[in-house]
Amino acid sequence: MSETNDLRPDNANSVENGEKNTDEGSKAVENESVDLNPNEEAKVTEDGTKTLETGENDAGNRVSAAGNAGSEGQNTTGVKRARENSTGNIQDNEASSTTDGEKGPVKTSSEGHSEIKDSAQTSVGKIDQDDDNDNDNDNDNDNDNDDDDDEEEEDEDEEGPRKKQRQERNRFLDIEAEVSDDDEEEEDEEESELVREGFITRGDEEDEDEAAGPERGDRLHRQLDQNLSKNSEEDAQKLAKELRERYGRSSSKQYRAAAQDGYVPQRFLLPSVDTATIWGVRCRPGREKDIVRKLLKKKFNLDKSMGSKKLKIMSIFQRDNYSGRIYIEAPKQSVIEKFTAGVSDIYPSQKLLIPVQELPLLLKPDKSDDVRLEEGSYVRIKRGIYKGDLAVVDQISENNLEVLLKIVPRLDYGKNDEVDADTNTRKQKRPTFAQRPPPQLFNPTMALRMDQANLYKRDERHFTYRNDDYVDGYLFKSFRIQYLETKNIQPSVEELARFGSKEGDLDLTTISQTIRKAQAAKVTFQIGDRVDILGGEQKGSKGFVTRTSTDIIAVNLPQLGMKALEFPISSLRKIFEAGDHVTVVGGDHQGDAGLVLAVKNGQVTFVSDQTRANLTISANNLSKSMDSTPTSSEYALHDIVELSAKNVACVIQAGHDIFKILDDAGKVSTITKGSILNKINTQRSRLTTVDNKGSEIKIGDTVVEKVGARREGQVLYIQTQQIFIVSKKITENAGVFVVNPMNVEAVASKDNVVAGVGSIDLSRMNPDVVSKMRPPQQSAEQSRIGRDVALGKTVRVRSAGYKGQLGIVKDVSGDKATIELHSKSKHITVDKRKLMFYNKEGGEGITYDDLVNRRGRTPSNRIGPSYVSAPRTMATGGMPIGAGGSGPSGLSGGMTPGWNGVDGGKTPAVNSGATGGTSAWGGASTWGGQGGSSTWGGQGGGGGGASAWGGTGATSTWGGASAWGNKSSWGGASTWASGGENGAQSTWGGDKSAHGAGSAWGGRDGGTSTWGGGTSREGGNSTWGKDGSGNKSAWGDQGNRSSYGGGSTWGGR
Amino acid sequence: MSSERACMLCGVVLTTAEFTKDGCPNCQGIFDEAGVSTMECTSPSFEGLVGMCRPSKSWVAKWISVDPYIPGMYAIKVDGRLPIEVSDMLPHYKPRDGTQVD
Repeated sequence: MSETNDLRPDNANSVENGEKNTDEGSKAVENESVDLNPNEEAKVTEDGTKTLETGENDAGNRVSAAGNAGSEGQNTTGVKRARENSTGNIQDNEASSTTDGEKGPVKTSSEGHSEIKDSAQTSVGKIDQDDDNDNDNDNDNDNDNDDDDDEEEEDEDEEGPRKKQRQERNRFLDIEAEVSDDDEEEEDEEESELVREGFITRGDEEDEDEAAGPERGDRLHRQLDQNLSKNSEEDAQKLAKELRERYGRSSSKQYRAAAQDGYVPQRFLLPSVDTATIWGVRCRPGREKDIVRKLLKKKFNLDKSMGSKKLKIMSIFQRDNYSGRIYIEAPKQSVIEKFTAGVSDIYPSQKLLIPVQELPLLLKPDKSDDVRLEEGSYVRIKRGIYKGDLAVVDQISENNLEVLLKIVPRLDYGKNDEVDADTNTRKQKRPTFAQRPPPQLFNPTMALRMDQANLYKRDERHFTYRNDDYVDGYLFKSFRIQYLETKNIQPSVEELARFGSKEGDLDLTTISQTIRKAQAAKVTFQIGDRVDILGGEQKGSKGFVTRTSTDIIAVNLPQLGMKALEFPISSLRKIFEAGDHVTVVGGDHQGDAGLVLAVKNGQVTFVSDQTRANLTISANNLSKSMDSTPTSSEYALHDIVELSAKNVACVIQAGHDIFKILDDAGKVSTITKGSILNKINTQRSRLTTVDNKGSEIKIGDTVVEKVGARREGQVLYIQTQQIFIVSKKITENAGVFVVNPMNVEAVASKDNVVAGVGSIDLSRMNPDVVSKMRPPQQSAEQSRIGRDVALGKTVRVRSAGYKGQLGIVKDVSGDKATIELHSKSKHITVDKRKLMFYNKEGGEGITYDDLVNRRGRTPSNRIGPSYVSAPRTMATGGMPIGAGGSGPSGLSGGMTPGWNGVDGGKTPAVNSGATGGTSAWGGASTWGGQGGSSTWGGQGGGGGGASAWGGTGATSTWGGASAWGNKSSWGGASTWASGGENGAQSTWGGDKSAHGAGSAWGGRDGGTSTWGGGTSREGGNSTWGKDGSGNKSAWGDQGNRSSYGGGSTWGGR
Repeated sequence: MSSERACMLCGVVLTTAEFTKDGCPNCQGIFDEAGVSTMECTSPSFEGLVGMCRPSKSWVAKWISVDPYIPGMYAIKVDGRLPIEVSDMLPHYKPRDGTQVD
């Protein structure tokens, strides 16, 4: 024992070394061998030591070689091989072979032999550790730690022999011998633990003087020796005792002591990532338990066969709650694959690490959905002839494993027994589930008559029949709880009635309560419902539902002014008042709806919307509703449904499953939901027919009967020869009747009504309002009346897709224009605002809005504006541009604007249109004035810039670069002050102009000219004429009455 | 495997025959001391099968407190109650039927 003690620390050290100097795995081995030597020398003969040394060195070298040579994937095998080699070597040595070339008897003494064996074992352990370390260095993802290494070590050291001992122990229950065995083993284990602790505490020191080398080893070793010798004496005793108690399968005293000493509350056992690594592995559902058994067996077999090297599988387990998965406790993932290889029904590729925090839940003994049985609870029997039957728990056995159940017996009193005719003995035939008798209470009379031999009477109510006890007719029989279904038992009323039929009030009340509960569960309260409290302290109060759950409702009682109180559903009743509209949510009339007429004792009487009959229903089966049509059904009132390919009918009463219909022959019948093929969507129907005058009737039109009762109504549906009409004035058949279209006359079309209402604008019909209105702006809407201006125009597409392409507008509908492209023969539809409109010859493009403003005229392709007033150069006496037909002389002022244009005589488009242009002609302009400059135009869009009109020496610009209409002639042949000095008589306007033709403009003496007859808003006198003697002309002197420009009174004939 | 039973004290799962023949491998001493039969202390109703390979090392074993026992099959939950004779002897007995929550 002490020798092992001596050796252990070295192992421990080497482990430490190996881990610390991760790069020097082989070095560690060497160190170890050095460490070992002093010990060995003392006990082993020289030769033996030598052999050992070489063996170890050899092994160490090999191991390091293997560790270096092996690629990552092959490491384990490589290591294994190396280990085997080393073991082999050492054992060879042991067996006095001379593999290493070393001679000398190894087995000089038995002591030496044992020593060698020990050291050999330790060396194996050592090398293993180093292997592991090498491994770890190579693939760092392994989650190995000291524990693993130590375990490994222990595996090698202990498992083999221990296994044997265990088995022996199992076989022979020799307590004494066993305890001692255990003792030894455990001591080993414990000591190793101690050692581990020892070296762990020393690990820090080691770090400090790492370079010390062999000296350090010595020191450590001595310290450990001291510690251990100190500990081993007393601790071994103590530990032995402790362990004997812990492994106390012997007596309760030990168990008790261990429980007291070693009682660890589970919260201290809570797992950490280091202590518990549990993998969930998928497997075939239903086979979990078998797999656990199989794997455990496999593990035991593997342990036996693999000998020294064992797979690190701690445990395998399964839970019924988590089907299709087993759990394996193993520190390494790779082990699982190795372990489960070849086992069917398990899919080790689908595994996942169970999070540490979920482990306690996974191993919780109690399932959350478990029901604790108590007396009086209902269960169902899982097997036997009573399978599926309801039973009441009468008693529960002490150990909780059996329950005495009260069952309604299924007895045939020997009716099916086979009677042997010869001997007249009957052979009892056991009833099977397939041919079991119906449940009936035990009838002693029947038993007495049919099968007297098996009946014993205990007392008046208690019989024993065929070894079963019957009390009050019920069978009392003991069942194991694993044969009982205890969860989610919902007894039906009949079953409950069977239990309650004979006994008195007690069971009846329970039944009624059960039923009530079941009913109450169906009642749905909604937040905001007004409720009456039926029982308890708040009985009689009324409140509002504020929160709902399955059976507890929070109700706010305003009169108490408290926060919401909670009530069970059974103690609440909904409040309705006469006039409420309600829908039936439960019971036979479910789906019906109607108006509440009266409420009495919780019974609500309402008139059904469908049947017009009064129904009385308890309040909790109702809920407030908004619409009258039941929503629960597929078919609603007034739906047109198809009964066959040819027959259609109209629903005149819609229930949940039963419908009353009126067919096309006018016959009323009641049908089930199943006989309805489908619903006809009348919205989509385009069916029309004609009335007796030949006008068209569509669905939705209002018609009136020409004959008979002159009923009036709306067309619901049109069948070839019949039309369904619904009238709101008729109650019979929910207002639906069927007539021949020849007997009705269309009163109003649905479309007409809609269109008429929508289009009338009363404000436009009121002249007063209209007169106050500004001159009607040409809106886009108006422009759409009639032919759209865009039609036929050459356009260029501005939007994506065909951007830049030219085409011709072929059709316009709404905002969309259909364009025939020039480039290819294709019509596209584009938003007309995304088009540029061009003149046929090209030129400047304008938008649609501009086009509308221009009354559909596209700008010409001429360069410059078509109407150009005299440019500024003219004011200095230059020749006016343009060949208007008259060359203005411009001798003394009175420069006239260049009236130009290629065509000559172009006039602005004042009033060219019927409604006047959008050009603001006028506005706040001052017209004329001595020497003043008047602004002609103003802010108008087309009106162009400010023009100074007249005035001595003033330059007048008429228009400017404006597009002032093109084609209209403003007095085409007019001469504008052509005479120069005296001012020629000019005619403003002309034949073509709508602008007051006969106005005299100027004159020889500068007479007064009247410009139009209308009045100008701006009013004011203007001098229009020549210099000096210019006469006053009244330009609309009455003022304020007319709008200047626009569609106003400018001119006119 | 309906003949299997689980020990209510340690949770080990064995067949009924094994229990009758050898008793509970972990707790037979206690049962003998209490003078109760093994059948009284084992239950046919259990759930959560654990194949315990290394009780001394396994965290699962610690958690379900089977770490001092032999390797073998254990149950996580064992229905039933130990006879009063046994439970009286063991003040720290923790029932395995899930009734006691730690």
